[in-house]
Amino acid sequence: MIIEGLMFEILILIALSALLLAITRSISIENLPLLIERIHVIYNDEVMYLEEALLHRISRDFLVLNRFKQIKLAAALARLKKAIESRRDYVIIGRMYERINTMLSEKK
Amino acid sequence: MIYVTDKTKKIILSSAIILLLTFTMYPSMITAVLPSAIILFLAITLITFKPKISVTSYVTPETINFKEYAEVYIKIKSSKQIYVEIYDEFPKTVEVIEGKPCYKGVVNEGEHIEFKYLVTPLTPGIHAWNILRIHARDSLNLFETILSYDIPRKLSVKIPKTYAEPSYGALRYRTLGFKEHYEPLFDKVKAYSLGDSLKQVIPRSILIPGGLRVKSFISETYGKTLKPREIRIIPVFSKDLVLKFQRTYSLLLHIIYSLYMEGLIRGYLINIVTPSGLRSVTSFNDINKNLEELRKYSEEEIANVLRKHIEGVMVIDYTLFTRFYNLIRQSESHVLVIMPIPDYYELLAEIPGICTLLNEISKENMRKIYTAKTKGRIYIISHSTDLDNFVRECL
Repeated sequence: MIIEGLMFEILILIALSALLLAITRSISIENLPLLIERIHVIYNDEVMYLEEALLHRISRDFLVLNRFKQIKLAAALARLKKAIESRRDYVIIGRMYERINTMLSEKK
Repeated sequence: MIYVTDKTKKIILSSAIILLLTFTMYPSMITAVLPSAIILFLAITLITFKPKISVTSYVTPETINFKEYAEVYIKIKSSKQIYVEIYDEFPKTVEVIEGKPCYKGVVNEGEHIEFKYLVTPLTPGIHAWNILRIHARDSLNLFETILSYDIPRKLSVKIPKTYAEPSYGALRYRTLGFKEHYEPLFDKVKAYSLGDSLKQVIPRSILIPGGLRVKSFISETYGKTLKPREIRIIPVFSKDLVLKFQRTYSLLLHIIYSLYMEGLIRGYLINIVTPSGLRSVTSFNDINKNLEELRKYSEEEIANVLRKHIEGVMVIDYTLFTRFYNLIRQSESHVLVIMPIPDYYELLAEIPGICTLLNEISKENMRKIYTAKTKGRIYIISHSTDLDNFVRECL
């Protein structure tokens, strides 16, 4: 009876925590949509969007790293890719890229 | 809308984990006190975080002539202490030449910050500013809000009615090399000597005692010919430039307008080379019409112009320079390569990360131009003042 009650309380706590985290995630600054129009750049003599150039640039450095270091960086890279796909603001993408760039230069 | 920062996300996540772990080990209400207190603190901070910011911004003067400067003033006042990141979306057709269209720093309670930046419009016409965006964060860096201010700011740029004196050295009688006719300037009357052209004999002198008299011209006196001066501008740009790089296209227009103005001051004839022939230009409107027409031609037709190896001043965008490099390297024309400047460059350069990327891209593109070898001289144009070197050395 006590264990059942405890389990019930833990479940409620988990549900509340999950709800709180979900709300926090949905109102995170990382969800800020792109407020200016998309910018083009010329990267390797090809016209592309700024964020695409950014991914090309990272993948060039990323491939040089060994497998273990790649796994460590994968989460941050996945977040950046998701932000780019969802067309997040350049201020946010810039912050993410800066973080990854610092990690990449540390790994080198 | 108020957003939560990464810091807040981490605090909430760690609070939830601590609560679950401690409650599993010690199932008591006491374990929930600390996480609850943290969440309560965050809630109170959120409720009290209502930044009240007043913004004043204007462009002065509101009307200027082409190639003149204007200042943009921005003043921010806050009723609370906040950290702000200000991004002013200036028009794509202007260039920031001094200061930054961005500010990052703390605004103290009841105080104000003021900054300004100097712009030069790249083209004549009306330039309208977009929104002024402020990222405001509380002093603990827990919440961030984005405030947009649509302040009506316009800069009207007129075509000057008279052009200023040449700014670079003395007038030289050097041509950029093209036309052959000339009109020698009359200097003085002298006595006829063998070898003088009979056409230059003054008819009246036949009747006057003292012998024949002939007209003498400056060109003969100084032993050189005054060549007619002409600048042939060969604009080469892709459709991508017009559609996707409005800032760069404006820079290209600026360079052509400036060449036209410098040419007029120095007494040159200005012609624009198009696939359908040579077009004489006598006004900014003529330039615009010819460039509009050029936009209709295909890249193959533009390449045909380059195959003719017409000498002049080639104003070419970076993409077509790399694409037509084999044709350009055989030309003796001076080449002004317009580098691809992304729209809102000065603004993007203030964003950490994006700035690093743009610098790397710019360096890579520059390296390609520096290693290019052509018969004519290459000038890299990434700023409106980059034309000065060309004017100083070639006009």
